[in-house]
Amino acid sequence: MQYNSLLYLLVFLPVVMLLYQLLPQKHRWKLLLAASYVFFFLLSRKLIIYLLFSTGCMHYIGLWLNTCDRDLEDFRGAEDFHTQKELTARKKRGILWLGVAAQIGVLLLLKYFNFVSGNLNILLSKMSLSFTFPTLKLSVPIGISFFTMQAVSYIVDVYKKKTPADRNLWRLALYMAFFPSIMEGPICRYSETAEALYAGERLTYHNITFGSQRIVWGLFKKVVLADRLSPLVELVFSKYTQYGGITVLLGAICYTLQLYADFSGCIDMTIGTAEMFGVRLPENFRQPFFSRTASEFWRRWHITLGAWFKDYIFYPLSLTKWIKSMGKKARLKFGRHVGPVIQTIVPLLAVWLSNGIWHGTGWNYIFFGLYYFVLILTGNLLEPLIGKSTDLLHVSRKSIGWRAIQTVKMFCIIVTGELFFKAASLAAGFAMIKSIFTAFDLSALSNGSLLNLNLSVKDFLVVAVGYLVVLAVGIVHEKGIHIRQQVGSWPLALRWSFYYAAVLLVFIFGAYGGSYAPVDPLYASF
Amino acid sequence: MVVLVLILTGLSVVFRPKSTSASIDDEDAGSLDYLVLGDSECCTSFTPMELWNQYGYVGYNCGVFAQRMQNAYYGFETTLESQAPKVVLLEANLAFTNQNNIRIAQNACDHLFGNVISLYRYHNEWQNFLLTQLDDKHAAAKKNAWKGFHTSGQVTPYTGGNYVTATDTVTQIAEPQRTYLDKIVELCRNNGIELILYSVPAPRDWSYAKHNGLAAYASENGLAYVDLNLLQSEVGMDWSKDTYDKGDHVNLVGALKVTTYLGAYLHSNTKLPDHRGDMAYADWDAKYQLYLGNKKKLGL
Repeated sequence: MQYNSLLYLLVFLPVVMLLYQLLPQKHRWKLLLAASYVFFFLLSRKLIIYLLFSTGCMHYIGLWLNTCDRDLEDFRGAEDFHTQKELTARKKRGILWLGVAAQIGVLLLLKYFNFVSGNLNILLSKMSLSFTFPTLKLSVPIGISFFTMQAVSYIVDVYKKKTPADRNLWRLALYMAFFPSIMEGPICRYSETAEALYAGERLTYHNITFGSQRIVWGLFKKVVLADRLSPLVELVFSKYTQYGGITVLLGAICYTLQLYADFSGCIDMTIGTAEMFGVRLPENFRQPFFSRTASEFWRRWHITLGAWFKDYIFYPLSLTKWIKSMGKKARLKFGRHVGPVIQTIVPLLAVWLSNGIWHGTGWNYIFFGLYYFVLILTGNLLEPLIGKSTDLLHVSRKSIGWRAIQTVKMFCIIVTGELFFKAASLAAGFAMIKSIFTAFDLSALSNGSLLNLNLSVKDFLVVAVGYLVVLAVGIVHEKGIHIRQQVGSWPLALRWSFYYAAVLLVFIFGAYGGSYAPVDPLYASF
Repeated sequence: MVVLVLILTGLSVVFRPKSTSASIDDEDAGSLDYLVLGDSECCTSFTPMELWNQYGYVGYNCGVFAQRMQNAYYGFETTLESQAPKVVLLEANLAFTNQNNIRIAQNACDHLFGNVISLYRYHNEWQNFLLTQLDDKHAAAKKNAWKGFHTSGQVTPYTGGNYVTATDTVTQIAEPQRTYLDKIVELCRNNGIELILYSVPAPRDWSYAKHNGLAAYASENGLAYVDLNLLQSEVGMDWSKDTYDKGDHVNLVGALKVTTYLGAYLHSNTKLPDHRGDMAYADWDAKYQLYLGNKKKLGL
């Protein structure tokens, strides 16, 4: 059930809201849990077993970890307390790894087994060996990449005592399965979300209107902009051998814009829905195309994913003894700038490989991850050189011109990355990149060929105006202005006219029905 | 909410289908004698303009890429509000297209909502009265000359060899496809429309077991079923030239062969009228010239 479908917006969500409001406060979270499981079951049917396993596993691992801490307290003051402390630490580490392995293991099996076995078989056949690894027929439940990460973050946070284990299995189940965020995130932390989920705050006029506005904004981005670009993107990427030059470049740019509008639009609907129930979910986007460096981009795009990798892969790896020792040696040998950068190589590589693999099974996704690894590492290494160069040329890095150049440069880098992300394969990606240059012909801008890509002049116009609106909203948000609050302070008639106009814009200019093929949320397949 | 519903209902009056939309809504009410329903196997394999030229038959290809049976039914039901065809051809591949109940529920919801607030169904009509100075009427007319047919002149051969192997296995038409197929059958019966099931030559989608399932269904319901996969030599199929995607769909050359065969079938088995020379259909001659231009651009 898509968040932009009438079935969700006019049937499922209103029914859940009505029942929620009718129930006593202490039972409301149970209604959310039931609705979440119904939602999940409708989408993934018997694959709900994986969600149940993941939830049950994290619950009992969490309790086990807490039990270890409690048992250790019995030895406080005893002679062998330190010995027991070490034994407990070792035991907890074992439990942690067991819990993480169970969660990640299921994800790896369902999503990556066939990719790995397929590639091993290619290697074996190149070595003329007759043995082949089997290919399994595996179905993947919706949101598994997202809820697995939530499960791992919970287990690690309990291990580090950042949050106590929840003794109530069903409250954990709600944290894992909460229906607005199960499909595409954002990836929530238990300590930040749990309390609001279980609070059972009643529905208020403020929450409903603010939440609805966020949903309409998300619908605008998803249905008017993203879905409108889909036919062009699908055509260019599926028949890339027939196109080149500006057409392929246009396809890549349109895909980048489509992906942003689709994903951030769905997140807006997710956050808006949760807001209606008084639950604040973390933001996942912060004007990513305003970024000037690759590092900044990943602090603005899919924010919760980047934060997860930082907290659960980058920092833990960086703080290991052998990485710290490597860093010390590198500092002595290569100096105070390059040394620390070298120290980050392994953690960064782990993060970006994981990022690429998390997104999908294909060499193009691994390339996507390594692409950003190289960019970020190179950026970090060259930072002093860039600083010296700009000083030498008397260029202020705070000037509008410099910032504009950096932003445009970064946009080109993003589009290149997304081209590989969307391409049918790594080879297809390289072929498309090559064709941009080898078949570049400016006449495509005037000979009408760009209007034979399933988008009419009016479609392009809607897209152009729509993204200008998105840009304007982004600029306002960048200045820290809260648009919904501003609109909320307008006179009643003006305010409601604005709201109705927004809804009508989506109704009229949405790319749905008729000859438009339905477009599933792009990130729901990850 | 009430105000919003009132606004939507009011705007629904404005957003009624008009011409130049290069869709079936562009056809004059009551003008079409046959319709062709189906998914991409349908819309890429049947070109109505050929039947106009050969027999003077007027019809429209209502096939839609990735269409599901329930959408074919809803679209057909809506089309019958303005058309009264005598014959409907249903390309039966969508009887076996997998789908889940959620998509069906979503489609049902959309259809119901569209019946109440027609703005939802015809919202795209804004293209016909906003910024009309940007319209390339000639391009729209050329697009409309296809009469719903979508094609490619490319050739990417199917090289899998013979795919027709007789078997007694039967692939049943599963729910909910069967329910919606029954609804189409009933709708045709209630409106005095002759329904003909057919299968386009399609090595990648077709199977003998599916043929058996469809043949059984057709027999149970007293329907004709023309399976072109078993008539490839009569149709003249050449898989080295007649497909643009390795046998998933036929290209323009393949579609001309399929249409010619089905046209002959309709000529022999139905009483579709010949409208050539009929002043009310003079526009079809003009459209046919545009159609010839379209074909020439694709190399024919």
